[in-house]
Amino acid sequence: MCRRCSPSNLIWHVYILAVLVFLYAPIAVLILFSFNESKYMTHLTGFTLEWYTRLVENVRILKALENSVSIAIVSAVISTLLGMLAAYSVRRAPYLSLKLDTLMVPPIVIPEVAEAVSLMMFFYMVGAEYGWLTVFIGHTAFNISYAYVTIKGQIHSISPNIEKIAQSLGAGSFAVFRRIVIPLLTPALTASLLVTFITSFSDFVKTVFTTGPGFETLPLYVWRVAVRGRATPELNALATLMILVSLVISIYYTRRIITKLGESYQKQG
Amino acid sequence: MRGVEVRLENISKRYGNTVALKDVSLNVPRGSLFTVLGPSGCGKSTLLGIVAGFIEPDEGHVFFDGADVTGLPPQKRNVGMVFQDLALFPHMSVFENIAFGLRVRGEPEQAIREKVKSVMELVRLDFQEYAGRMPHQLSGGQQQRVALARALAIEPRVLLLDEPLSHVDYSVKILLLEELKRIQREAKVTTLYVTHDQSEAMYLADYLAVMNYGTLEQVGRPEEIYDSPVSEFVARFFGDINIFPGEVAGLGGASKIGVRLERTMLSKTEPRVGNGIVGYMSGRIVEKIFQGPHVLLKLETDYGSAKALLPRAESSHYNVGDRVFILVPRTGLIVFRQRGSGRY
Repeated sequence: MCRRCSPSNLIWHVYILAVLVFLYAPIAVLILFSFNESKYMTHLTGFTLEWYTRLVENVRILKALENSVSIAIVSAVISTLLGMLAAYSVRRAPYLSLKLDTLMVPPIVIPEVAEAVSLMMFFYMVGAEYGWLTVFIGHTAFNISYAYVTIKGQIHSISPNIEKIAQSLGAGSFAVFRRIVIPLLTPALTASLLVTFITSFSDFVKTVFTTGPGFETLPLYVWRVAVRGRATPELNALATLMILVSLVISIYYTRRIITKLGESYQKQG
Repeated sequence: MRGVEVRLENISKRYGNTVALKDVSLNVPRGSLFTVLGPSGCGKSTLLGIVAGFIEPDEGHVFFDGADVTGLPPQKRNVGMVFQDLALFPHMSVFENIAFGLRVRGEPEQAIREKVKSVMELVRLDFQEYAGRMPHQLSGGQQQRVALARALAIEPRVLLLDEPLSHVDYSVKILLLEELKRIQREAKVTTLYVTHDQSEAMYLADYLAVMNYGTLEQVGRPEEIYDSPVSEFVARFFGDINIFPGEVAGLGGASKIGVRLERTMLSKTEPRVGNGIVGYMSGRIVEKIFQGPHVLLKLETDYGSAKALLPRAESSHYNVGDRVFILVPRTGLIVFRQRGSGRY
């Protein structure tokens, strides 16, 4: 009996196929029906781009898109900056490392609902007006943790002697940071920006708890429309676009950043 | 380039309960190549860090040409450094690495280019071929040259080298030591070279300091330290030596006597004391190790093990298992007392 058609091998292949089908079939169907002429998801009738053109005409969707993207960008930039400073401070003061880890890791592992509720109560207590700012603060609160963890790893791979040499050559702290540390951290900073952008862009739970009347992001819009039983082909088109954005970022991330991070670890390690 | 005279005065440094440096005073003459030799953990890197300005001493002062620089941060000391891991900037080309110090000083582009060219010439790296390369595209030896060129480009007042060759293969190391010596002579820069490798120290040093447990055991010219080590530690760490228990007439009390391996003589017949021989003992050859021009003989005696380094031709008379007499000559005899020593 050949090795490839042994029973265990067959089971293995079936298993992999099943995993792929369960993972990707719903997405494939969704994408397929976003181009379907018929309004109903029961049968395919023909190809159309109508649902996509309708998206662009839908003011509510455009507003939600604007909210989602603006929050994701600002949150990604700010949390990456703060995460970088936190990670760098650990390098300057190693005794802070454990303390900061203890502070930074919980937001990643605490159930999001619990975190979201506590934030909602907090905003209520301080009398904040729910909207862009509260959602942004909510997203940034956990994004800092992701940024910190992503960047800290790479800061450790830079030899402390590199900074010392730069200093001995006449560079003050700021020049060392700008000319040496930041350029060497570029792969980690890019990774952090992408991760935090996607986390914010696709977040639902925290957004629900921290949003206010009249303010919604794309995931909120999708949920509100879908929950009223109006899962139109328009939603399929919207979801398809959101998947596309995530895919592009994740492919860029894995192809470029992960390899770069790996290289820099090898070079400096 | 201008080198300065570096003077350390009563430097002490503690880390918690550990004493890294204890009351160290040192004078490094202008333009000299000064080597600090000591085992790992003896405080020699701390000493270098204090001269560079990365470490603040608990007590004591650092002077460059008589001016107190103790409180000055590293970026204002104008000191060139090379570390063991070289720490080239991995994201910059060879040119940018070497130009870094000049750029942060805001030198004009044309001056930077000329300076980089001239230091690359000094360390013998071809400008056309290497200026545009990235550090990871260079061999280990070339990386060493870039690191040195980067340190020299700022025309440092002092050049500090922290075990720069300890990761280099032996054959490359010899070549780089020669180069380093030449470059140091040409640049006339005061250089402090820290190492745990006595062969590097012997090869390079104009002056040498042997360090142990945070103190300078002995400072002097290499020949002086080799011929008259003040302690057993110095004698063993700088060169190799046979040490036997012995009493020296006129000194009183117990002492030890030391003989360098190449001065230790062997004889197959029982010798007579006098005529340049102050004593002898019998022993047996247990091992014969070929070392190129010399042969190292390991011996067992009633007073412990001993070694003798013989020219190859002479060594052919001796074989493993032979009973021989080990002769202690008058010339080169080193006497160790409780503290301090002298030549007999």
